[in-house]
Amino acid sequence: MLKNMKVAQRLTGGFALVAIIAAIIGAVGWSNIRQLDGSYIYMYEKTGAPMKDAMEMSSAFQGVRSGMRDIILAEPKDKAHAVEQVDAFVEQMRKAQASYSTTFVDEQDRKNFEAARDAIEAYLAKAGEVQALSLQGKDAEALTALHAQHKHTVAAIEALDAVAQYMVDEGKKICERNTAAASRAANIMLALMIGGFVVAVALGVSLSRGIAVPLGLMTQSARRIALGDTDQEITYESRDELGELAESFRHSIAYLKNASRTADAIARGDVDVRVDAKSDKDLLAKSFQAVCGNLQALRADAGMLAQAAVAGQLGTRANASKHPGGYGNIIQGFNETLDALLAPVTDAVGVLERLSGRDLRARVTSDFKGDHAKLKSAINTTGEALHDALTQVAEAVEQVVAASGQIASGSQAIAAGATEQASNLEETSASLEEVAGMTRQNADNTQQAKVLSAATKTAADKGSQAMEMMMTAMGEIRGAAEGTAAIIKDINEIAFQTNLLALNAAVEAARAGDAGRGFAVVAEEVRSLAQRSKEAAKKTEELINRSVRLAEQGQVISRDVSGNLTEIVDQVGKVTNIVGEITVASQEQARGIEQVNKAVTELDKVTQKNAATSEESSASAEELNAQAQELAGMVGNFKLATKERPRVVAGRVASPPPLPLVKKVARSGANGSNGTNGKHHPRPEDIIPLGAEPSFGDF
Amino acid sequence: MSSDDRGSEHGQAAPRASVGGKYLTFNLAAEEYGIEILKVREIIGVQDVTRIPKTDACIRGVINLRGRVIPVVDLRRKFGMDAAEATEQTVVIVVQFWREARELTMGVLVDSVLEVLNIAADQIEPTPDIGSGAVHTDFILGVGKADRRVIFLLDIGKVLSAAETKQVAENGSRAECAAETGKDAGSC
Repeated sequence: MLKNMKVAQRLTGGFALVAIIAAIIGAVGWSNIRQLDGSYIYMYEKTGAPMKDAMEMSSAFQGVRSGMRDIILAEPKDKAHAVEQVDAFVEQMRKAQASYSTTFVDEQDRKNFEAARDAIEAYLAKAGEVQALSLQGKDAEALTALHAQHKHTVAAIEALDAVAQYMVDEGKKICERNTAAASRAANIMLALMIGGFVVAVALGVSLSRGIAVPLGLMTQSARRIALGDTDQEITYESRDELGELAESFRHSIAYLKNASRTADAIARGDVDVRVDAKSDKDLLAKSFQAVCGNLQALRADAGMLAQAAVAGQLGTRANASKHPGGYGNIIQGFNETLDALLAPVTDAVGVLERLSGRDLRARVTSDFKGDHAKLKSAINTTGEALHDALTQVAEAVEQVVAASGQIASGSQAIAAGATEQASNLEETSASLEEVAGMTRQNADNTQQAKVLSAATKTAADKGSQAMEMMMTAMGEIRGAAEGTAAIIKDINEIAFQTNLLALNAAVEAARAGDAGRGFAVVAEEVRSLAQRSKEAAKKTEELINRSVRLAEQGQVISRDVSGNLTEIVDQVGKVTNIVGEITVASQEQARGIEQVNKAVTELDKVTQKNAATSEESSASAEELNAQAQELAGMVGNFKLATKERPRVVAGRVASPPPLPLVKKVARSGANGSNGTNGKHHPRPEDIIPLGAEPSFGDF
Repeated sequence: MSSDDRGSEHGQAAPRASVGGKYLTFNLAAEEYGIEILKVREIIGVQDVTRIPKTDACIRGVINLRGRVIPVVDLRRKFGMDAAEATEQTVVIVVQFWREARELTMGVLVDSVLEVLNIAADQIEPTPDIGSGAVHTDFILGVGKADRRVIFLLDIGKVLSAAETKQVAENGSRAECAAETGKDAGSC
């Protein structure tokens, strides 16, 4: 049922239902609160206020009772005042009774009140009597009377208590009733609230599900379409706005499917595909139609150009202005491509034709790119290579001509040199003979020197031996002197002892007094002898010491002499050796000179041979020169880039002037034993005028 | 002879001019000294000297002179000079003199002995007065002159002082007891 309603109706109905439920709950709450309020007012009016009146009645009654006793007990002059007080209490009690009598709850209440009022009135009646007695001064009787009316007092108090108790019970009953009512009202409210909540939630869920589910489906679908996925189906159907939306989606998907199929066909190359416009505003379909038309025209022109190119007609072009925008550019591109292909072919043909005409300077000069640049480079490299090769050939020819000229003149110079060498060699040979004679004399002299130095060495050896002997003798002298020194020491010792003896003798003589006088003289003599011998020994010691010193000096000198002699022996030995070496060297020198002599003879022969050979090579060089000139003429036919240099064909390079010695060479060569001379080459005499021949310049 | 000795030893006021006569002269360092010939017993070469324990450095020890043990005094030490090594010239002069009625015999070590010289009395000057009482010159009899030389003439008995002479005497008779009496002869 809900599906067939419009979305707006559904939302309005739902919200209205929720509002009605809220109103019901509010009304019930309001009535219950009002009810409770009335009940509480009633409770106050019927129980609270009467309770106050009852309390006042009770307290006033108690005041009357105590006032009565005061009257009796008071002095006579104060009794009037006490009576006034009792009257005031009575008045208060009556006011309370009047107030209470307006608020009876029920009949029982009235009965209780009337009983209490009657009991109080009875008491008051008796009290009046007591009052009167007391005023009369009969206090004792009054007191007795007061005691006597005790039963009235009790009755009045019980009646008042009954009134108050009834009020309390009544208030309690009302209160219980109110509590029950409030509880009931709360339960009702709770039930209503729960019911309303459940209904509102169920309604909300149902409504949202009815709208959100189809909307979610369509959102998903729209997202897939946005990603380009048209291959899908929307199954949702209803009679509300959502149903209409789903229907529109289905139409859109169908349109997009059709458009993508068309584009796919064009993409696959089917340019003849048919497209129908759905309306005047269907720009997509119209565009598809235009694309197909343009592509068909393009296909036709491209096919035409391709057929022409295959047939070799590179000059054929299509009209690019027939095609709009980018399509025109494509055709323009075809045309330019053909232009670009054609230009280098034309250039290459021109250059190759010039090369074949021996013009090696021809080059492709246009600026080409890519493979055409490679073609250009290849042609130019070929031209360069040919040009370089022929240039090198030309240079080589030129060098060969020059070199052959130089060889010819060089050969002539060699021949002249060889002749001069031969005459020099004869002089050398004579000089060598003299040198050989002197060398032999040298050898003889050194032999004599060797003998003499040997004799010198022998003499020096003998001197050295004599020196050795002298040193030994000197050493012996020293030894003997030392022995003598020891003897002198002994003599000294003896002189000392003798001296002592003489002194002792003198002492003894002195002790002996006059008797020893002669002895004293003897002792003195002995002492003087001892002194003399001591002095003699001292002198001898000095002499000995001196001879020892001299002997030592002699030893040193003789050692030096001996060393000098040894050195002389060594030097003489060296001289002998050197002289021996000189002898050997002189002999070797003599042999060497002999060999040199032989070599010079050989050299003479070789020189003769050289002269003949150089004449032959001179002739060969002339022939080489002639052939080189011929080659130069051939190379000259090629047109080459001119670098400033002498033309090869201008003639042979200038040869050196002919040497005056050539004739002598020729004679010398003729006298030589060279058998190869003049086999098939021109004779040396023929070579001579070559340098003066001017006709070679014609080459 | 003995009375003469005693006079020179005990008579302090005896005139020095009476000492003319024969003297044995000897060398000690660079100086020349003389001893009265009559107090000289004999001259001997240097012998092995046996040291006496606990005696002063100027007592060299004792020697055995033909069976008699006599003490030997180093005169260099006695005169406060540096000690010298013995040379072949070194000799011991054996002297003999009286002291307290006893005749003492001692050896005196000197550098070399020279000669027996007769010095007349007029060639002897009294000991020059140095002027200080602290310096005792009692042991010099006088200063003899010979040629250009100056010879100190020694009273050998005083050279070897009283205390020392006593010790020396003790040593002469009982060498083994020298250690006990040596304490009295401390000064040299």
